[in-house]
Amino acid sequence: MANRLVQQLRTPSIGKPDSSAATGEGESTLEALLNFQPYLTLLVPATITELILACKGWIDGKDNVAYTMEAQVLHIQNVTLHVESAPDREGPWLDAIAFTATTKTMVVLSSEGGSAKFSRFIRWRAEGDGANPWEICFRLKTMPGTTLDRAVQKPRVA
Amino acid sequence: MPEAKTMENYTTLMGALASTIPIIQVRPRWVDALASKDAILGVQVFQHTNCTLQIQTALVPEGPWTTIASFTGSTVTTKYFTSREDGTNKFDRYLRWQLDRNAANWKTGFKLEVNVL
Amino acid sequence: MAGTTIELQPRIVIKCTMAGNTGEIQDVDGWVDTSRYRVATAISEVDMVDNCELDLEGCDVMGGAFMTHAAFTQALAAACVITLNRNAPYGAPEHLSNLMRWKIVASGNWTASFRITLVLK
Repeated sequence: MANRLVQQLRTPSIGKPDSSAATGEGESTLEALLNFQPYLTLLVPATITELILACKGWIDGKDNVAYTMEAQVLHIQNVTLHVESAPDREGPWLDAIAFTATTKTMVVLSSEGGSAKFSRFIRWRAEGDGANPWEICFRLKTMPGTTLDRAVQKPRVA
Repeated sequence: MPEAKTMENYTTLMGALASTIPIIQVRPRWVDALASKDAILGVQVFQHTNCTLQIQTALVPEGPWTTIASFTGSTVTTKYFTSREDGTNKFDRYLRWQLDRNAANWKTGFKLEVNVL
Repeated sequence: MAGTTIELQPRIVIKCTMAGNTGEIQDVDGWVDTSRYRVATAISEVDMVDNCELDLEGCDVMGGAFMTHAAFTQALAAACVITLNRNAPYGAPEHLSNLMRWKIVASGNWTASFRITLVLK
């Protein structure tokens, strides 16, 4: 289903203007995951020390043990991009992975181990260095991995 | 229970040329506060150069549109609007943003959250 | 068939300082399938094009060769409006293809800021 969704081109709805890219509000779960964060450029003064993805865009990974995340950081200056996770919306938020340089990379966020761990909720946070204006241009796409139902081997029912 | 709606998510706009033609928020994202008497707007404006970000209100989509808040520099603030009384913070029905490109090499970044009550 | 307006690309700013980057192509889930329409008006609002070229491209078959409908190498004071027609000869820039996308071709550090809207009839 994921492949068909990716390959499906937008066919304009008759009479309806198509609005902007994903905001994480009111869209299908899979589409919101694939466009976790469309290209975003931020140019921020030093007085603003961090910007966080709005909570409606956070991924709730309670049904998945892994996500494949494709990260493209095209421009980054005086800022760290954190992809972080927490068991509750209130935190504590811990880094799954952090970016401080331009990159195009693929990372597996896993609840089963590995270097990029996640618990339940996933979001991004851009943290300036606190002393200088900061800039970043990035994109994050995610694809869910194995769901719990398929991952767990169930005993035979006698 | 009303909850804050993202009127405009993190947005950066920039351009090389000044223009008398403003950039206006796409209509599907306008806030229609028909059944509301009050609105609270959370405003974050980041690097902001050579342009003016306006918050506008109108009774009908065709206008006329009235500016009820204006930003020319970086800020993090909350604005309160009401339909209960006439005044500088009165809003009619629709809310939208407009960006005026005042000079060459303009740029802005902002995020707007709104709660209508 | 009723006409419609669709944003091929809502306003976007992309700034790239990544070494070795030669541009970006719009993700396939952003491309627009125009096969049901005869005429398209493409309105390109190009606010900034630094060290790159923004192309509006079309192709009739997924995986086929893309032709360039319009190319932008500098910011525009006013929106650029072009008309594409399915009756135009295949291969001509004004021929309306079945699939439309944008592409940026660049070398070195580059920045692009633009919006492309399609009116399809």
